Amino acid sequence: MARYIGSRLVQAIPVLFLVSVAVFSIIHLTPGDPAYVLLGPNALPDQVKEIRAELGLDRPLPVQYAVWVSRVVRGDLGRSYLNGFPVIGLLDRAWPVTLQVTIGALLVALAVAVPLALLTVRFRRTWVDHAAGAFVAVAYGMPTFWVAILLVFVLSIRLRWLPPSGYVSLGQDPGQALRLLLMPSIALSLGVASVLARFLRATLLEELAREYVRTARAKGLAERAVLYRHATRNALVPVVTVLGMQFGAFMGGAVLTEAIFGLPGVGRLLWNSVLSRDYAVVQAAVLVSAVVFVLINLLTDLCYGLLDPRIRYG
Amino acid sequence: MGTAAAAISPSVLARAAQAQGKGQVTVGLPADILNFDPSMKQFSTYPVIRQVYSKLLDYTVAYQPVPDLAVSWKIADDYRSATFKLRPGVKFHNGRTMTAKDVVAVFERAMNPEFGQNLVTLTSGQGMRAVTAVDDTTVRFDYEYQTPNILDTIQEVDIIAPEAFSQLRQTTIGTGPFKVAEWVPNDHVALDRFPQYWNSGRPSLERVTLKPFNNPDAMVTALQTGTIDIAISLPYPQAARLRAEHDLVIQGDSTGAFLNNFEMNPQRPPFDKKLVRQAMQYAVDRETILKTVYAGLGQVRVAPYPPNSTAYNPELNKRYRFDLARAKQLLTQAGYPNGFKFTAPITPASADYPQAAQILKADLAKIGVDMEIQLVDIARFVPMLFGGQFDMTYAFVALNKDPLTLFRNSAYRTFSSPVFPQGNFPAGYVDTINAARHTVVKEARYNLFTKIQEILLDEAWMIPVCSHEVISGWLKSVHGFSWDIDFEIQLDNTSKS
Repeated sequence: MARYIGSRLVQAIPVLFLVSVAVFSIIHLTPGDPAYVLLGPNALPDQVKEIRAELGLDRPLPVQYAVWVSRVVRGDLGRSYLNGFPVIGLLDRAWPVTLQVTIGALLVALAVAVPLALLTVRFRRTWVDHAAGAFVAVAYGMPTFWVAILLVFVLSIRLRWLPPSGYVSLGQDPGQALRLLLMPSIALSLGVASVLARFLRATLLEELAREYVRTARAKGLAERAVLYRHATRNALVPVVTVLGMQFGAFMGGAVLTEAIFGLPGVGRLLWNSVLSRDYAVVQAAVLVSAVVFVLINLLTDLCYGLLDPRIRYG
Repeated sequence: MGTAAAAISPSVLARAAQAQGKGQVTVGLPADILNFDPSMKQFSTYPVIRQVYSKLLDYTVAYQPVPDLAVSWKIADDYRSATFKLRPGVKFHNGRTMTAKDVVAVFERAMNPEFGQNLVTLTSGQGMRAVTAVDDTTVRFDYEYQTPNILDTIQEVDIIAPEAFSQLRQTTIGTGPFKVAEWVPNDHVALDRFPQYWNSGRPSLERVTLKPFNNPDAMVTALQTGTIDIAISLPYPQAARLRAEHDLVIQGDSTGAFLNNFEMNPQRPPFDKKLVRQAMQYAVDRETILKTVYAGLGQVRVAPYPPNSTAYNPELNKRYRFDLARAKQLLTQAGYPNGFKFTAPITPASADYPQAAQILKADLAKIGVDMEIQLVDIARFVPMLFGGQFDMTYAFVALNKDPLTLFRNSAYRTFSSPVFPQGNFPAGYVDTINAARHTVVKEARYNLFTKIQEILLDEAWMIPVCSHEVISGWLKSVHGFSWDIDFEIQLDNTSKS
């Protein structure tokens, strides 16, 4: 197992190198200049020149890249061009917010998708199956931002049940933190929940057609036990793969949900930093997101072994 | 879902408000502050300025000077110096007493091209030559030449404790009614009451939280539901609807400080021809733009100055009116009977910019001119604007206070001009501005500013459209919320019932 994890981490190095080159090139080749963002439209040319020199932007791009990478490998992600805060501190504050929303969305997606898939399989070709199918189709078709706006309109403005925006950490006030996370988690999860429900339904139907299921039924096991104890566990392996891949979708969707719900997460930090060309923050945020994505994929692969004892890591 | 919602109880918001208490307000902002350095003069940083800093003097919205850290001042008869008497016993947020030496250090920083940022053009750029501490509570300002706008040059500068100069990107030490408690970038700025504030009895609030919203609609919702107490820069399309809500106060800034302009580049064809630029002046439907884009909040302007300015001349505002037939006629005279095509980079950083551009585009299409709107984000737009990399664009300039304020904006200024990079300004433009800069006689100045505006209208590279008002909204339980002439919001007299 340790050897497998080690080799996967080594394989991640070229991936992260390519990500670093890509993000550095894209953000630096995008027109715009942080010096002008700092100084505004009435800046004088000499002032712009001074700020660019101070930020190291007057050096050739390969030199800037080499300086950045040499710092990153030593654990120094640099400082924000705009406010001088260490980037690592900004990410340290933002990541827990995004992770809370992402995990919240993951839990909501599972809480919706698994029962829905089981229901549709259990009551296949009945009105329950059709109704669930219709719900899944509608949920899949609704854009995240639209669901978010709808939730705010109904739950905050009309019913006044939930605050429309804001963030407090779980440690600060767990009750209020969960209330504030509820709407973003639902908004972010619906699309993924519908994909998961469809996928789980299809794999469950495949599993139910296999010989081990016929044997279980022949031995006189109750249909409920066949479905929940045997078929569902085997059907979960491909579902975990989909879930791991959807994690990236959650992180992408966080940019929108964080803007709508006023959450100070990575998505919002990245959005603001791109607009103000805060290169140091953009580069670090994307690189750290890539690391997280690589780790999630590794975790996903390790989960296979827990779900299917036949899978061994060498 | 229903169970979860029921468990939350119907009035989370009321509870939140109760928890927040009467001594605290949360102010929603359209963007996070950039830092605490007032010399940057960044619009996004304005909401924090008047909370943590004071100036020697300030202006009311009606441009009346009022004492702040100075109790009195005297301008020399020749307008080449001014002496300010400081308020004794004023404390910085670190408990140290402010002296004349601190004020000198602050102004020297403002005049220093290395550190003064945008204050350089507002101080030494306006003739300020030396600042001297006469004694512990007296400061003398000397100018290179007769300077009619002496008070403006001093009002622009916020007093910072010199020991905080190196920390301004993250925190500060001022003398204002609130001190910085914490800044969590991307989330909030928390300010606590400064008990040693010179104006005893103020502020009444214990804490102010400034909260940025990326999404203006989310800020509106937060205001409607009482999650925040005050919101700055509300979107125009929502103003009328919000006015109908009984528990909100919605108000425009009424400073008249912000003038929207279409700006043409006279170095690029076809805008290098004066007749084409004048045709554009006739093609802009100012009334429609004001009414549909800015909810009617503001005034149509043909000449730049507002009615409360000493340079205002009502006759000049009659020079151009919306007349597409006349525009077409001028284009024909200029050699473009079939129109032409051009590109206008417009930033969507503020929703009104593309909307105003769309209205002009539609009108120009009627006379055969194809205006291609190129949407560019603000980080790309500013270098384009500054570098003159546009045929035409749309932006606002600030022109409150002395009429000379107008000429610190890049498109109007006489140095480092993006639209006249070779210094090839229209005849008489620079000389007349310089004459106004050194003239203190009221009638003579008025005549000079009229002449400058006549040059501007005739050469027509700038098309003033209308002033716009920044719309703020607050709960009716909030009292005493105000702002100064620069639309720097003031919370020192704000309370909550």
